This record gives sequence, structure tokens and C-alpha cells, in this order.
Amino acid sequence: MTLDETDTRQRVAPDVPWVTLVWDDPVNLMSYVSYVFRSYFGFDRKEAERLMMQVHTKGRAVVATGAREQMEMHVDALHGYGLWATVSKADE
Amino acid sequence: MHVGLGEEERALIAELSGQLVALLEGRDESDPAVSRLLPPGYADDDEANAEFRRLTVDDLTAGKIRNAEMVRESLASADPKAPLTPEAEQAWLRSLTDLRLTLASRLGLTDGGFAPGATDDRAMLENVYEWLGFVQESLVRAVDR
Repeated sequence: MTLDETDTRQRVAPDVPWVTLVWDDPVNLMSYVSYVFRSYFGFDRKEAERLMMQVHTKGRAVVATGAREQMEMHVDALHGYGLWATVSKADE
Repeated sequence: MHVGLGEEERALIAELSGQLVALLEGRDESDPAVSRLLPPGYADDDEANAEFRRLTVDDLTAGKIRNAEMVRESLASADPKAPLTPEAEQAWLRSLTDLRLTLASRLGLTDGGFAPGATDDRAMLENVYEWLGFVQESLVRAVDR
């Protein structure tokens, strides 16, 4: 997995092997997904829009990287917002 | 911010929210709408998913029920122009999403559009779905100042 230089929030120690994935669905509004990324993760508007567009065009995006328990907490919270999110190992 | 909806529109959202509460309370795992409201936490690890679900599903369900009930409460309030509290705004945003996820599941919505086989009842539900999307978009804009 590669992270571009703007991904400071996602830059983590290489030995942390879990990610939070958000998947595209035909229901959630682009504006809402972007809003959730900003209000829950604290991303700035540009980063939230970039990740939202990645979900929309690529079908999914990694929105967080870290310890497994933390990723499960994110996924649970995103389910509360109605987004489709899962935990994965980073290399999958 | 307040919810600028007509009386019939308010009644419709209240009715749908009541149905959503019943759906969540029943938690019929074989219902695709329930599966989408309470989705798996792991895409391809049944064991990890079962454990994740065991730990999270009760609170997730309760939160969604609470949101739907908060929407019903604000619709039932004596003053339709009463501003929403920040907590109620969040409940509306999330519960409108849950309503749209449920309707989309019932209507077989995919990226290609609604499942074919439109009847009058289905056409009406499709309109309700589209309208809820409009309400949701307005709400996101209002909250996201």
C-alpha cells in the first residue's frame, strides 16, 4: 500500500497492519459522505473530498490505518452514520 | 435550523420512522434491509465478523432506534418551526440515511438504478426515496455551514 504525501493522518508505523475501508454504495450522498469524513475523522475539506471521490470512483477507500481495536471502533461509528465500512489487514 | 416540511411530509417521515423502529426492534437477520443497517464489520472473515457483531450490534441498533425516535419527537413537537438541537440534527442526518438505506433495499436499488418491475406502489416508494434524498441533501447543507 502506498500513501501519498498529503496523507499525514494516515501515516503510521509500518508494523501496524489494520485499515478501515469505506465502500461505495448507491444510497449515500456524496455531500453526506464528505461531511461524515470531516466531522468524524476531522479531515479538512480537501482531504474529505478526495477520499469521498475515491470511494465513489474506485469503489472503496482506506480512511484510517492503525491498531485493530481502533479500526473496529471507526467501523462501528461509520455504521452508526449508515456508511458501509469494514476492517481489513493493510496488505489485503 | 428547523425542519421546513409540510404537514403531510412530516406525517410521512413519522410513519416511516415508526416502521424503521419496528424493523430494528425485530432485527430479522435474513432481511436484506436489516443486513444493510447493521452491516458486517469484516468483509471476508466470518469469525472476526461474528465477534465484532457480538460486541457492537446491540448498541448500534439501540442508537439507530434512538435516532428514529428523536426524529419522531421533533416531528411531534407543538412548534414545527422550533430549531433542532445539535443532537437532533445528528439524529435526523443519520436516521434519514437509515430510512433511505431501508427503502433502497426494498426497491432493489443498485448503481444501475431501481430494480425493474415498477407498479404504482413501487413508483410511489421510489418517489419517496428520491424526496428523502432531497431532504437529506438540504439538511447536510444546513448542518455543514
